Amino acid sequence: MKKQHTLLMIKPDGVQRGLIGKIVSRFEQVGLKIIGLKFEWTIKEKIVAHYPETDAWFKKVGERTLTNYKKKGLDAKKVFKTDDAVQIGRTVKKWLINYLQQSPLFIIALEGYECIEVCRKLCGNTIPVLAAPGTIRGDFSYDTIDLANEQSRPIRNIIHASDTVDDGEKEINVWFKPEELFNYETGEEKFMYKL
Amino acid sequence: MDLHGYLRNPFRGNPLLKIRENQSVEKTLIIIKPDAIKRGLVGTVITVFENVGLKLLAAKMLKPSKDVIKNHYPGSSSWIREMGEKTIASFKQSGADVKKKMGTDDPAKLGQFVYDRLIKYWSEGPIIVMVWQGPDAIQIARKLRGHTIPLLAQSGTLHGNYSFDSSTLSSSLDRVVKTFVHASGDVEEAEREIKYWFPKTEFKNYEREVDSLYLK
Repeated sequence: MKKQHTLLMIKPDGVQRGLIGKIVSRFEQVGLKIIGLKFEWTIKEKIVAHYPETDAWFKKVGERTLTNYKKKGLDAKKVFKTDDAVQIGRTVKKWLINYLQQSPLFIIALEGYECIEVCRKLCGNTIPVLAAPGTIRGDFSYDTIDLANEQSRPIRNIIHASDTVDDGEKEINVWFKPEELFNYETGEEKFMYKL
Repeated sequence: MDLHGYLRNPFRGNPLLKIRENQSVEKTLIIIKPDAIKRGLVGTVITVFENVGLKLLAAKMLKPSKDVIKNHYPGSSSWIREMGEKTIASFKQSGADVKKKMGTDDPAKLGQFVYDRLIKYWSEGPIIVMVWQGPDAIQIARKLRGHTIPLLAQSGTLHGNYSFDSSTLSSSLDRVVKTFVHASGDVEEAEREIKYWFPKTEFKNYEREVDSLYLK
């Protein structure tokens, strides 16, 4: 079995509310290893490179909104002036680009077996109001898609964690140079699995 | 009351006045050393400084070369001597015979011994360097970090709560005391260290939840 890598990004809501340490502790506690870390202001180009600039991504994001609106009997056209999923996805990305430049971002590269799934589990549902207690989003936020859309802003869900193994590698590449990643052994590793 | 501190700065204790004069908002350099990273204490250390209201301005993980570690310290012969004298003092405090344990009681030799092993300690793995900002940030960070030597640090401080290391233990193992959180000692040291680890970096401010409650 191969170790996987996840890119975590604590977004401005987590930074400005003073939640960095508490969030980092959760990943350390479970035994994942921090192999890269930085806290810095970002630029538009990096955010654009981070979120896929593909119709598939825009569609995925747009459809999340449309599904939620349908469930609640709301009209997407009122907020977005369109009900095309790709167009809605593009608008959300614009909001993200603005939002992620509101404070520096706390960015971590994590390593471990099943790292991707473990991180997604610890973060909880993307939509904080639906995230279970015990997860980062469930414990520290209750934002909803309706409210975010109504206020023309991206959902404030505190943290980003890579979706898939490929995304993890790709995103770490966007934020870290190879010489900014480190290999070392933690104190607990030998008690967790054979080295 | 810290009378000397008061005489030096009569505004001490009145943060509002000081902030208006821009004397009080300081930056301090904090370093998380390899052992703390390997023990999973990164979040714990950050939480302590976040909770007190200090604002993180910059952070990075790196594995510095021996020369980079060496130049973090002043490194002058008087500084090396001073380190040796500190070692002698801490041996005295714990009732141990420095000459018996270390083979010498010459401050210059002891200082160089400590300096070499400090570099070895820093090289055990990656470190995390950070800049934190806030009113009296230097004093606050030092207080929360606690005494340099964990055995002598009060409970409630980072060094007190998370380590049992001491001068006698470390010297018996031919290493320095693992002071797993570094915090700048004074304004000059902070300025020098921040410039050293974050050269040409402009630290842009952002708003934290405590700002509107205490700083406006």
